Amino acid sequence: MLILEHLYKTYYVGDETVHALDDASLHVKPAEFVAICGPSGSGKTTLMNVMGCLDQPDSGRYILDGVDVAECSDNELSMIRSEKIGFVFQQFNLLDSMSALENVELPLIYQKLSQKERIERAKAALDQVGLSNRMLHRPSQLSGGQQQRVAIARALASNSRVILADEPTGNLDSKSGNDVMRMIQRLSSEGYTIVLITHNEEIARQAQRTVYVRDGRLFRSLEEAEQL
Amino acid sequence: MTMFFNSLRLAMRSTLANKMRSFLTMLGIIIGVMSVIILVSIAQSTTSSITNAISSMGSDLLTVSVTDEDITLDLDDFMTLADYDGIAGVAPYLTVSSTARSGSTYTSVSAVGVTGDYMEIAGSDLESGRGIVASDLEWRTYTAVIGSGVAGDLFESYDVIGKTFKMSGHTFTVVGLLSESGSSNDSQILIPLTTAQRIADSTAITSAYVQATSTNTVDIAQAQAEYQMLLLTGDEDSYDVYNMSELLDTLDDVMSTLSLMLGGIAAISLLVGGIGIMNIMLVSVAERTREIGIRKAIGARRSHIMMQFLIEACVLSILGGLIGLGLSALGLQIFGMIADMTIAIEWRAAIIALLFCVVIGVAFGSYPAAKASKMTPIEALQRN
Repeated sequence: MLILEHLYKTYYVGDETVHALDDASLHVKPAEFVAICGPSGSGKTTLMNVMGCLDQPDSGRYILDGVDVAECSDNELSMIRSEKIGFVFQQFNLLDSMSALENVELPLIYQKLSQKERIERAKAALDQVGLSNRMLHRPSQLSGGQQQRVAIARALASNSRVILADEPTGNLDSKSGNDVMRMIQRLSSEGYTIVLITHNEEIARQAQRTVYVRDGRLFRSLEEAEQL
Repeated sequence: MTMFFNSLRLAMRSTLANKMRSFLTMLGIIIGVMSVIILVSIAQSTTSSITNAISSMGSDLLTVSVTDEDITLDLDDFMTLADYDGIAGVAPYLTVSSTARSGSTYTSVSAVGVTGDYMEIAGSDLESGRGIVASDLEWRTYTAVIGSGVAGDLFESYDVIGKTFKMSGHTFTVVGLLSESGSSNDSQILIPLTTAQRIADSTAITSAYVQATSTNTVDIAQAQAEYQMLLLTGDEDSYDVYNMSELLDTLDDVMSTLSLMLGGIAAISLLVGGIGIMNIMLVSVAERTREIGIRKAIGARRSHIMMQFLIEACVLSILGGLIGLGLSALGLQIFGMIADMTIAIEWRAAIIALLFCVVIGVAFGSYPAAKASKMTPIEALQRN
């Protein structure tokens, strides 16, 4: 379903060359739950940006649902982000001026759904994450855990089958973090394809499979990665 | 279309969320629209009241006046003008400035000595009573037809027929009241020409209205009047023959140039207001970088972001324009009350000003909007 082949991405920071992706290849099967684990600066965020079609690699192929992303126009990329990928960020990335319901509705606006349908789907998604009693609250009126659940609802509402979660528990206390992880587990069991990015071994272990990142390169096991 | 209404709703909300900032941004537009509408409306109203006063006298009218003090023409000299086939009527008149008194009320007036034809030729109408007639001239009676302004000043009433007032040492009896015209005619007193000559102690007459047979023959009448005046005076520099419609055209030209100029100056302030909008939109784009990133990450296209900011700029400028329109209606009411005249909103200026606002919104909003839409999602997300 997600096929990454020989991806390269290099940044130049002053005189230094940073290999954010260095011959990275990865296959993620439908309904699989994969964790991508690595310390900060290892290139895992770049990997997630590429997988989320927020960024393009310098070279290599990325095929999402049979579509070669490199050949997509700007508008087609927007459409892929809107319909195929749900993002869950460490910073939640909700819009503060809008209620939880409106935040969840937002991707549906860009899918050009009618208002009735948008509200129906947004309500259903909030219900799924257990927040149907907080629909009209602003993000600032919600706890961190609740905000992250709104973000998950936003990803679900768009009907995407792939969820990319970048350190979803990074800004949460352990209890809310566990709640969020349980929810991700549940989504995985419901058949969503999940790519979880984290620096935390323990959290990575909850996935069906873990891929380790070091200096832009991917390894199947921690031992291989450590050898570097 | 749904997209458009969503963007519109969003723009309204963001305008309301920063009320003070939105208001200050719109202030430039508000003042610009107000100055365009108010200045042009006042100029237009003034023009039309002046042209009305002139055209009520008739566009078939010529004014003949002797400018050389050494030449004295009398009534019979002027009446020779009436012999020409292009000229329908001649109304010589003699103006005497004086003070009229009734009881203890004084008012300064211009008393115009006229013949029986004067009122018809000059286009004055009677409200009540009668006009000056031939027998008044023959007997040099002390009768007067007064304007409504004079009636108000002297008698504080329009029921003036038969009342008397004193002027230049004589007691005049009011025989007629002129209809209110809204022009300087309201402060006139018409008296028999012969009586005016007696007061002035001279038979010399310096001016006359000459009526052409029709509006189409004004040019012929003018040539004939000029010819006859040359015969009478023997010097082409000692008299003037004015054509009223020429005067009207000149006035129209001057006033439309004036309102164009005023409108132009006001339009510059609208332009400045537009730059204010661009400034705020750029700030708004910078402030909402993260929002743009989030929207892009969850599927917004470039055109969606572009539309959002463009509509917001348009909402600011159109809202400012509408507020400016409302305030100028109010301002014109107040000005009208102070100046004691009715000033209608010049709708052409209002529509142009509002259209200008839309153009400003689009023109000055498109740069910030384009800037926002070109941001890549990660670049926008990384800035906090």
